[in-house]
Amino acid sequence: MKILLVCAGGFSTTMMMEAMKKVVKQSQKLAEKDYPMEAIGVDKLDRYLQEYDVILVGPQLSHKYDYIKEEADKLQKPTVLLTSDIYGAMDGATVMKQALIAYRKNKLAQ
Amino acid sequence: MKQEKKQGTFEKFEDFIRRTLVPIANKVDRNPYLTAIKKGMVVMTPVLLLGSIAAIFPSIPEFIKAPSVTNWFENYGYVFDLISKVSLGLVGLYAVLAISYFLSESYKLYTIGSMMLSAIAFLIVAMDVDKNGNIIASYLDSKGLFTAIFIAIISVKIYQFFTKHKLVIKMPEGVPDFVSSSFELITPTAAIGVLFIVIRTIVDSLTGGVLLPQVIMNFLAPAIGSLDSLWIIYPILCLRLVFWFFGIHSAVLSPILSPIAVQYLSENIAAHKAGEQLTHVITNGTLSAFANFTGSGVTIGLVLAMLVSRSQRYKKVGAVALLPSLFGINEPVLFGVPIILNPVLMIPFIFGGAFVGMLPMIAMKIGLLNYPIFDPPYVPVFVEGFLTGFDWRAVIIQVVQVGLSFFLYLPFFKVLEKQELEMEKKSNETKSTSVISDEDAALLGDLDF
Repeated sequence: MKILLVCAGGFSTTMMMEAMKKVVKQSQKLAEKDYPMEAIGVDKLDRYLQEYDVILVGPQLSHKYDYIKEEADKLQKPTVLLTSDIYGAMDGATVMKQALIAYRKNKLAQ
Repeated sequence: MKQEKKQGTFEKFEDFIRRTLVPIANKVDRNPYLTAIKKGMVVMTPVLLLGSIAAIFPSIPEFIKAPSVTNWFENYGYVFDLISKVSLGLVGLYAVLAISYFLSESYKLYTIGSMMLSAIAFLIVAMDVDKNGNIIASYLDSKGLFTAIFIAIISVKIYQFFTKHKLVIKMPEGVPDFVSSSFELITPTAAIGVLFIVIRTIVDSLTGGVLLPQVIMNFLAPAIGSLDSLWIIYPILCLRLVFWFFGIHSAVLSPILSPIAVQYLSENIAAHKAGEQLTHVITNGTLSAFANFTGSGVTIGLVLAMLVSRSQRYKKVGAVALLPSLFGINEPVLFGVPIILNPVLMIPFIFGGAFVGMLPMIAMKIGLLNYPIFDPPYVPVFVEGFLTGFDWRAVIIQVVQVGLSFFLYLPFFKVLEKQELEMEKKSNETKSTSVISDEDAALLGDLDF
């Protein structure tokens, strides 16, 4: 499952990504190699979207979420708009869970 | 009772902004022209970097007084003039290429063809030749930047019009793609060539030999020049923070700000190289290193206040936020405190944050800090401040910014802290709610870690 994190410049989502990687590393059940992640600025979205399985969107892009979701829906990829409080706390575990849930829900729907 | 009324007004205000600002931000972000300008200005980075280097390196012999160094600069110092001409001297040309690339990409046109067409159109109106047939390139630099923006958009639109209405020469099926693409270019090339030659001759006859870029610059001068005034800069800095306050990344403003910042930086570099007085304070370096020092709204003071807070939650947010703040990233503060949509912090964040962010620009204006000649890459905050104008006084001014920021946010933070401490006392009994519903959690099943 490849995870793509999107924010305006790709800086704060890089922090979020590091937090998530740490969770995966410490987890007994998850292996790092199964969860490649990348954090990018939204301008690069169209070039990356194809390759990833779950798209996570930072709350500072909530005004653009509809557009991102539209693009992702075309490729049948699940998107999650991260909420402010988890993002502010850089809560990697919750976001990782949200990503897994979105991925599984999407799989079930297909 | 009074509290309730206050909340009501804030909510009305929030609702008003949601109905006005958010759709604007959305439109700007989805507008193909503005997006292409924004992306195009980002790729001017290498051009500006080389330009800065060409302006800074020639002063090395002043610091290292070894004969070998002096000798080298005497013999080969001209390379810096060359680099300067190749980078800043042609920034308009690079801009037309970059913007037409991004715009034609968004229209799914033949990108390299669009870039060629736009470059030709730009050179027709911005280049000149002397009696001996030598090229005069004096308007291909930042003076041609805004012309480049207009021409890239017009040329790509013309090309798009021709493709859309099938006014192009189509090759039969089976002809290789690159061959048919080049045939496709014939009619739009003719149209664009004729159009811009006509424009050039009209401008020529109306103005008596003045080139289009100069006409456009004269026309835009009042608007662009106004950004040199602190009275205009302050509301713009406030506006950036208004966007942030409503959770919208301030990059929404960059299609307007970044071409001006690019032009200003290249003019500053040119003035520095020529030994003249620098005039512009607004560059991407200034905005990032000073206006956004430790993140939008100069929130370092709030982070420090949180670190010494008695509230467990704020202490945690402060700890998470400290390190990224030192790299100018403050999303953990914006979303964690949160500042966004927090009525208590609205006034200090928008009006106070803009003022603390503007402080170094005031220092520049009164001669206490060098004007910017460099857009630093992502480096820690104090280094970034130093590199912007190669001035160690930037560090002192940033320390002052830290202090001001602390006293700006502290009283407002105390209000939040008091509320939070009461909440924490209460919530010891109640369970916190999670964003993940039980139903969703069941999906995780065995993967719960």
